[in-house]
Amino acid sequence: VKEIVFTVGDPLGLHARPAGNLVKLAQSFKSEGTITLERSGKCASVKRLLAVMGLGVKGGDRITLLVKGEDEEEAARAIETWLKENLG
Amino acid sequence: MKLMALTPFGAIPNERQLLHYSIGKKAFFHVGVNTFTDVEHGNGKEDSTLFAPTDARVDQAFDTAHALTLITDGGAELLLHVGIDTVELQGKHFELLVGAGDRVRAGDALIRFDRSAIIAADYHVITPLVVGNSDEYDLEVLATGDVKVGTPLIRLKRKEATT
Repeated sequence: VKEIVFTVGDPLGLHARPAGNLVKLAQSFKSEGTITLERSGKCASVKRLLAVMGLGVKGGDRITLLVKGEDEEEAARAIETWLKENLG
Repeated sequence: MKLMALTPFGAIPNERQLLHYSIGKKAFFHVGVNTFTDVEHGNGKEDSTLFAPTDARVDQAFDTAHALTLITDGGAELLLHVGIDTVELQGKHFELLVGAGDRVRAGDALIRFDRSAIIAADYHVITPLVVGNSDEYDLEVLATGDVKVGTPLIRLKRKEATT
């Protein structure tokens, strides 16, 4: 299991478009991932668009991602890079 | 005359781009002002209201009022998003007519918006309808071009078995 802890820098948070892109990226890997919003304790599958959007991740929020599966190493690296480049 | 194998000129598509071409495409939307009609889409006289495309339950209604998500009675997860980048308007020019948990019938008004004001603020008003769990369905496009409220747009048929 790979863990990513990330603070969302983008003031608009994880709204529709970035959520869609994140889900699409996650779906390209075999591993499953859950994303947990620290503020509320809610979690969602990173492969489900409505679940990710339903978290209501806002700018400044801290999120934790757990990635598990045969390609978790690669998936976690790709997701972390994407988060830094798009929501940092 | 002897033919020679052509060497690629410029960029060669990478594996990821080639994969993209193997994925089925159902429709293509041009985002932006139409070169020939000089309007973004429609004729600018349409009702500035977003209507429920089918019987569903409102899953999430965002406080920015520019988008909402629906779960249809058949289980499809729909995201309806008025405009592009309109999250930046922070609810300005939008009025949400339903709340999370509400039952809606096909044709019910969901969001009213001020189309002219949104365009004046330099945003596109194209309104994507995204099927969040599209991998679970076969999608058939039923209408293209200008459509009226109530015209069937797409048909979603649940696949027999999903992973």
